[in-house]
Order: sequence, then C-alpha cells, then structure tokens
Amino acid sequence: MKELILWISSFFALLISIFWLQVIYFKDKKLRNNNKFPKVSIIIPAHNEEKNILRTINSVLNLDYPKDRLEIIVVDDSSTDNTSNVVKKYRQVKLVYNKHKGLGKASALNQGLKYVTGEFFAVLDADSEVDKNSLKKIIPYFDNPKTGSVISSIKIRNPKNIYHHIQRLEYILATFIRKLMSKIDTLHITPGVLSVYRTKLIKKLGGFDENNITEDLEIALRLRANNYSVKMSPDSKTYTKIPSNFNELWHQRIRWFRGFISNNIKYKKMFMNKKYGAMGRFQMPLNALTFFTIIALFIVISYEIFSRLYNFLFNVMLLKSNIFYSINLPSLRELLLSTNIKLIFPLTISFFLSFYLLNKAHKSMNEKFLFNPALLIYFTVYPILRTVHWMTAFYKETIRNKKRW
Amino acid sequence: MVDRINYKRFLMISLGVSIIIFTAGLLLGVSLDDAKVNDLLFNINQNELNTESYLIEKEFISTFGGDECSLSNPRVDEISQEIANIGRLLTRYESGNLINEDEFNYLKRKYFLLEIKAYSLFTSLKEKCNYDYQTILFFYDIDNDESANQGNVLDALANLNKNVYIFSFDREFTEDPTLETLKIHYDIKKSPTLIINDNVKQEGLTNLEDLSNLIE
Repeated sequence: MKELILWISSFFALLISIFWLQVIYFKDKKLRNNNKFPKVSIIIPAHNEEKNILRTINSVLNLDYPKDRLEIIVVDDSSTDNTSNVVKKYRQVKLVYNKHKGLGKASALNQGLKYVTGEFFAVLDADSEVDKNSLKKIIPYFDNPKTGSVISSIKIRNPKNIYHHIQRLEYILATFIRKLMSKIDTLHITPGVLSVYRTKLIKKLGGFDENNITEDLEIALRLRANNYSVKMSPDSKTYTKIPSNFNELWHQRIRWFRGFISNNIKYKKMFMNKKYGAMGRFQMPLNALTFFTIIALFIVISYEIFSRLYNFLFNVMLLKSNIFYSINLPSLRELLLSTNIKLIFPLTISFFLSFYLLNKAHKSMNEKFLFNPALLIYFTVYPILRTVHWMTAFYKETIRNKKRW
Repeated sequence: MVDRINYKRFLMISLGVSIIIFTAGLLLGVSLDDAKVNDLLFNINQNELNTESYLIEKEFISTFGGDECSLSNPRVDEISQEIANIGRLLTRYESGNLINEDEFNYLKRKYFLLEIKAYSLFTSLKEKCNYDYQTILFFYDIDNDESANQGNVLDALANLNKNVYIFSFDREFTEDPTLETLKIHYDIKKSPTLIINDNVKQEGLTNLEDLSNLIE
C-alpha cells in the first residue's frame, strides 16, 4: 500500500511537472498597449495601517497613468490607530469609513465599491506597493470582453530573514505558476495586490463575500463559475509585505488553505464540468488531486517517520550503549543495488524538473537564483511544514472550527 | 471569446512521457535485479567453493592423517563470515523491492541450504574439537518489526562477540524441504525464535543482555 501511494504520487508529480513544462514553451499572444486609459478606481482597505499606508498611497500617486483617470479610495476598516489622519493629508484620496463586519476585508471592499466611479476598479492591500507601469500593463487585457479580472505579478522586496527568503521562493514559484495558469486559462485567484476588476460585473455578481476568509479566491472562482476568465499580466510588477515570523506565517497559511478547501467545495459544480473548459476538466481535478496526494503522503511519511523512530528507540532499549554495534554500513555498491530504482528514478526526474521550473520561474520574474540556506530548507523542511499547514487546515475545516482572519 | 490553448494535447503528451519515464524506471529496476542476482550468485558460489574445498581437505586429512581440528578453526571462521555477508546482502536487496522474485527465491533457497550445511558442520566440529564458539539459529519473518529488532540485537552480538555464529532463516519460506525439516525439528511456530547451541529455544524478542547471558 505504502509503495503504491508513493508510486501514484510520484507519477502524478511527474505528469504535472511535464504538463507545466510544455505550457512554459507555449508562445502566448503578445498584447500590445492599446493606448486606452479607462477610469480606474483603486480601493485600499486599511485596518490599523498607519505605518504602511503612506508608502502604498505614494506608489499609487506615482503610477504612470493619467491622473484624471485615476480615483483612489481608502477604506478605513475600523482602525484604532492614526490611519485616517495619515490619509487625510492627501487631497487626491477619497477617505471612507467602514464599520468592520464579517470575516476579513470583504466588507471594507464592498464599502469602497459603493464609491467607485471608474469603469474598472483595483484592490490594493494597504501594505503593498505598485510599480510605476503596473496599471498600464494590466488594462490591455480587458480588450477581451470575457476577461473579468487581471492580476499583477507580485514580488517581495528586500527579504531580510529566513522566513522572508523562503516566502520569496514561494512567491516566485506561485507567481510563475499563475502566469502558466493564465496561459491555459485556468487562473482562479485574484490576490489583494493590484487585482483589477470590471466594476459593473462585480456589482452584478453581488460584490465580495463577507463571510469568506479568502475573498480573493472566492471572487475569482465566482468569476470563473460565471464563465469569465482571470488573467495575469506578468509585466505588471507589484510588491507586498509578508509574515516575518513563524506565528504570522502559520496563521496566514492556515487561513489560505482553509479558504482553498472551502471555496473549492463551494464551487464544486465546476468539477469535471465540460462547460468550464480547462478550469473544470483540468484545474479543479488537479486541485482536488493535489490535496488528496498531500494527505496520502502525509499519512505515509508520518507513519514511516514514527515507526522508524519507535524502532530506533526500541533498539536503544534493547541494546543500550551497544546500539552502534548493530549498524553494519553497506558498501557503495550494496547501497546502489539496494535502491528501489523503479520509484527513485521517476522521483529524481520529478525533483530535477521542479528545480528546473524554479529556475525558469526566477528567470521569468527577473530574480536572481540564490543558493542560500533558504533554498535547502525550501526543498527539505518546508514541504513538511506546508503539509502540516494543509493537515491543520483540513482538520479545522472538518470540525468546522471558527474561522478567523 | 477567451483564447484557449489545447490543454488536452499537453495532458496526453505529459501522460505519454510520464509512462515512458516510469517504464524506463521499471527497466532499470530489472537490470538492477540482474546485478543483485549476479552479486548474490557470486558470493554464494564463492561460499560453496570454500565449503567444498574445506570438506575435501577434511577428507584428505582423515584419509592420509593430520590434525583436523587445527585446520578447521580458521576455515570455520571464514565460511561463517561469508554466510553472514550473504545474509546481509539478501536482506538489503530484498528490502530494495524486487521485480523478479522467482530468481531471488532460488538464491534464497541456495543460501538457506548453505547455512544448514554449515550449521551441521559447525555443530559436529564443536563437539569433536571442543571449540568454544556458539551457534545461534534465528528464525524471522519479513516485514515483522520484532524480527527486524531481533536481527539488530544479533548483529550487535556478532560484532561484540566474534565467537558467535548466526544462521538466519525466513520462517515463512516454504520452498525447501530441508528447511521445513529444520523447522519441524526445532518446532518453530513463531517469529522471532532463536535456537542457541542446539539446546536452548528462545521464542519472542530477546534483548542483548539476556542473550549474552544465555550464551555464556
């Protein structure tokens, strides 16, 4: 059974890596600047962001976009700090207040949506910054009337500690995969770092779900369920702030993964549904398979670790100080011959393919491939931590643990 | 309309390439199996030859005269070490997952027969030459944690005490009648079971301390 699970998992990993590899080399139609500057409203929801919001607003004011076609709306989401006073200094910014309700920032976004006058609106987290050309690079994607939303390419600026460096790698790979998903039209997330939407469409769809902990995933899936696509503009660069310690990272990931599980269940009608094209017949089954593979691998690997640990401790008990006398080190030839090559071979190829994908992702994002401890952790310890995140999220969803932001 | 690329074609190509890679893995596994079998066969043949050589030498001495016991001691040690090495290889290669089990079972059978031959020889020599070495028969089950732990205890014992000769047998291996006779002779019902110096039977897991006391 253990062998079978490992075999299926490695086959699945290999299949998906090869799939994405082909998408990389698929030449997408290059979009030209359409020289259109429709009015865009930028909603910045802010809850106690007095330290960050200044940089965010400044970056928006620096956008290379006609100022009369830009509207900035900051929604003070029941802040208890000086956020409002900081924002009031900007005459160009419309400040609105929101009495926080529901989960997360959805209610603040809906409040901001009420004041939007632009044909399009963007969501920008108060701890993020945009590049000068970022908005300009997004707009041409809306030439296609079936494009419901366009997202930017998110980067992490100046990673400082090991948590930052690991997340930097994660963001590079995630953004790259989003780019590939955008190519095959299965992108289904609109993060809070400059995602632009059609105003009328989102209003027609009822705005953001206030009882959802990942409203960015929910709205994207809702767009897809209504046959609108989500695209990514790789040339639109934005920057975000990320968790700096284990606790923050833990809570963020549990929230994301719980959101992933609940929203995929919410939109299960798309699963294997021909009507939704690659989204229904490829991406949704891939999401489900990834999730179940993670769980199966978690069970197998945990069992293996615990049984080995138990046996080791048991042997210590049996042999006491003579434990090392029981070890007969194999020669290199014996070691090679005793390898389970039919499993190791595809796994090794999968590993090198994922390494290649990561390298490609760096190139695509114009990021330097750094051989630092974070890279080692990313490939060794971090997958275990991610699996624990998934299992915790799955457990909390199963017991319907209270959701919190 | 949304531009769509042919994901189905990509998926089919991925499936094809994955199957090719997995098949290559299987083929590599088959050639690795051959290498394992050859390695074991070489060691078994070597041991067979050394045992044969020793028996011929022994016969020569009994026919033409000489001290059989002074000749036996180093030869017994050599044969025992070879057997222990083959046993280790068998265990290692078996845990590396086999594709051709029939060939492997044939080698296993040959190995068990070599062990039984050596065990009989060692037991008779011990009596005849008054040697102080100890013999232990170890009956184990594959994929059984207690058996694996007992194996570790025996490995430690053999490394600590060079006068202990261990002969291990897969209790569930039913393809050889001689091994069946051995199991019936010692009434082997469970694993792990140890037979120490032909007269002490120890069922279940025995720790190093107890085992050391038993062989003293």
